[in-house]
Amino acid sequence: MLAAVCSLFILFSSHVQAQDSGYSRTYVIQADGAWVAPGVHITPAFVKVSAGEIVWVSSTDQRQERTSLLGKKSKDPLIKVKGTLAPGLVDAWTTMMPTGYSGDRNTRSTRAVSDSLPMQVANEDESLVSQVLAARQAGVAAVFMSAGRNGWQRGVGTAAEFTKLDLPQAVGEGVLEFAVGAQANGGLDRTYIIDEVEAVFSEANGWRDSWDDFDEAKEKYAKDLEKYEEKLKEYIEEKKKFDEEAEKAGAQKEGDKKKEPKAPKRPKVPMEPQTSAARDLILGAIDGKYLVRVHADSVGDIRRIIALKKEYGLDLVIIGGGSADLLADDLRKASIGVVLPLGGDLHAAPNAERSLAKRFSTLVDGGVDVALASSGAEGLHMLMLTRAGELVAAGCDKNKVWDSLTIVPARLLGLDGYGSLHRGKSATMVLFEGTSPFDASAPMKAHKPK
Amino acid sequence: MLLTATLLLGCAPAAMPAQQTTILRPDAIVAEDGSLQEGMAVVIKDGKIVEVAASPKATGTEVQLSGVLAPGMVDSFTGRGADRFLTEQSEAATPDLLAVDGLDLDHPAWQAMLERGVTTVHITPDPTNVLSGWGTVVSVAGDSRKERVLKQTSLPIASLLQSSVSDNRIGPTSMAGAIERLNQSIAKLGIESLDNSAWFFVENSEGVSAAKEIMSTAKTHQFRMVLWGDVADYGGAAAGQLVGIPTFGNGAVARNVETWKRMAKAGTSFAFGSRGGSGEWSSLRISAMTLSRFIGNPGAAWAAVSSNPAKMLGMDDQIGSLKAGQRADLVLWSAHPLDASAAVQSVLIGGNTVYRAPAPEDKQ
Repeated sequence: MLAAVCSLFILFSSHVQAQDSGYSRTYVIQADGAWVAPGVHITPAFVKVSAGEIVWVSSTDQRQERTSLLGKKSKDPLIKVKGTLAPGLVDAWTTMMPTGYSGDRNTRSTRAVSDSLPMQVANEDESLVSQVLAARQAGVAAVFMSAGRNGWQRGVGTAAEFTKLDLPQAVGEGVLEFAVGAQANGGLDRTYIIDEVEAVFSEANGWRDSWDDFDEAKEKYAKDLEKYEEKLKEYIEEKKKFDEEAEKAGAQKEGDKKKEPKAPKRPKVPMEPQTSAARDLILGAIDGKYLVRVHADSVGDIRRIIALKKEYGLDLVIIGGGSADLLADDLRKASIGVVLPLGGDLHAAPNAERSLAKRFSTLVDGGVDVALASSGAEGLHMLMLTRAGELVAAGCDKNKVWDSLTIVPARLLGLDGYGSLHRGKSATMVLFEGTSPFDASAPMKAHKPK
Repeated sequence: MLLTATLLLGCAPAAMPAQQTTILRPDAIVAEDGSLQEGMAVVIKDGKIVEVAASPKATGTEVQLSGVLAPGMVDSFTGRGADRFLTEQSEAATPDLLAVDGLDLDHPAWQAMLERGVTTVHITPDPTNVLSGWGTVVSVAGDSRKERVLKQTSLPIASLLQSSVSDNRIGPTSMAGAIERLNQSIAKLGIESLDNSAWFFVENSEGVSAAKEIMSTAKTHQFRMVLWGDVADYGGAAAGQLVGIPTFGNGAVARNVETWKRMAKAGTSFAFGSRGGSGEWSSLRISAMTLSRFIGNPGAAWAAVSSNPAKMLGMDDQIGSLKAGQRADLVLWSAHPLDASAAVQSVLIGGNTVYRAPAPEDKQ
């Protein structure tokens, strides 16, 4: 019965299959070192790249000599660079949006960011391309394109990587997004409060129950139909008899007439529950098909989101999370990750106890997956490393801060191809010459695969 | 704020009078080109740097410092530290307003700036009138008003911003009217009063040409521009010059990456100021780090918060770099100040330790 329901799901985007990003060349980069993965730093570093992906990483040159059909010997080309290679940043929260898309205030919205992404045509969306270029220059390799900025309530965002033509390309299934906190407030006289989010989930679940009722009704209908058919046969017989007798006794008096048999009533065909694309998304989330992101800040909202996750077994991430640190333990137990925005003056928080550095440390030390994101403000990509570096200056662990910009957001977004320099991962990397990527006293470049 | 006039910096073993010669030996210093130089000693005496060398001739108390010693940052134009809106209220473009009159030496902003490694600021009037008034250069810390105010009246600030020339409460309503008024008031004051290099706040090419025209009547053509608004529209007019720019806010900087790159390529150098820029306390340093990433030149980015503001103010013989003769306004960082993960360890102003960072929390 459930399977029947699942088969009703409508795929809201058609590009979930892997697409060609346009990278094609094979080469080996020789750098002074590489930050391969959390805690894994090597010097020197040789990184083989092919078609935009990492083939191997080693501290020795692993290139092998090939002999062509003509007997010519060759090796993969070697590119020597100065500095240390590290995985490209994964920005788990941007407001990078296709020009043709705008956020939606409709609580039943099914609009998907990925549907508005330009195809593989350069110059199709110049504004978007310029944002990708800025992000690339800042060392960002993949982003989350959120379905809303201010005053939005619901939408379908998407994780995206960048193609050779600097266009964002959706990766994976869409992500169901809700805004219940400050994000929902901008300029609205009503906000999409948590009650409504709970309501749509409960309605979807209820709708699913209504299929059970429908099945019962169908069974009953089948039985009723059998009975009806029997009765109908009887009726036909009786009617025939009655008509014959009536003909014979044609001249008889009216009062002697036998009572005419009544035709049985046909049972009603039960109605199928009505489907809706908006509800299908919710059901998809309940079935674990779609990740759910809820933009929320207050303790009250976050508590209820934790309960929502538990009730429906959702794959869920909290965005914003202004008070998430106060519920660190509950979030860890519920395995809910948090995406914190890198904004504001870290050292001048009205209350030092609520500074980003403190909140970050509390969550990370509490075992919660925390990603640090640009939070969308245009231009913040360039400031991501600076802002994150300030957390280190304020006493946060440097490696944990770095992880929260790379491997953790990749995990929270389900971006398997990002966050480290292992085989099969993206070759969009950063190359820094200073002591760390946070050090702006030395040059840093982004490596775009060829 | 100034608890003591003694040197408590780093691991200095004991207090010592400032007039004595002290030889500071940090792990490294930030040279004027922004690079780190190891093994250098900075000799200070009477509140000034007297020598910077690997093996100084001077003798005195040696102090080993763990960290990177840099000149204190200079905010080229700000409203911070003033107790009221520094607004020219007269209708005519009269030079009534002196920023020094609005100075509030007890303002909480001073401590905030100090903690972020800023040691000198140039307070300017609000650009609400075409001739906004005169700025003042103030040291972020010091024992007395006399010690704090480095320059009572720095230079006149003229504003050719659209908001200044179209405010119908005060001032004229068009750029042409603004230029006329400015010319009138300059004629009245005498062009000599502007000799010490006036500053013009501009935000379009019209303002740039007006500033050039006005200053062409002066005997010395020394004037500086502070570029507001969308520099992409008119930045070319500042090619090859030293210009002021407001600190970068969060927004809209991404689109300008190419603009800053091209301007740097055209030989333009920058000096950051926090007026009209980001409201953040740490905006000066953040902007320098961002500029470093934008133009790929950390040295030029560091200059934008140290030696260039000093040059803009004609005070590069006193502040902005680690050179003999400069004020001993020094900041000890845990790493290069453009490394975002570096923190301020302590600050010296005029050779006196005026700030020490609290010991880092014991994180087990």
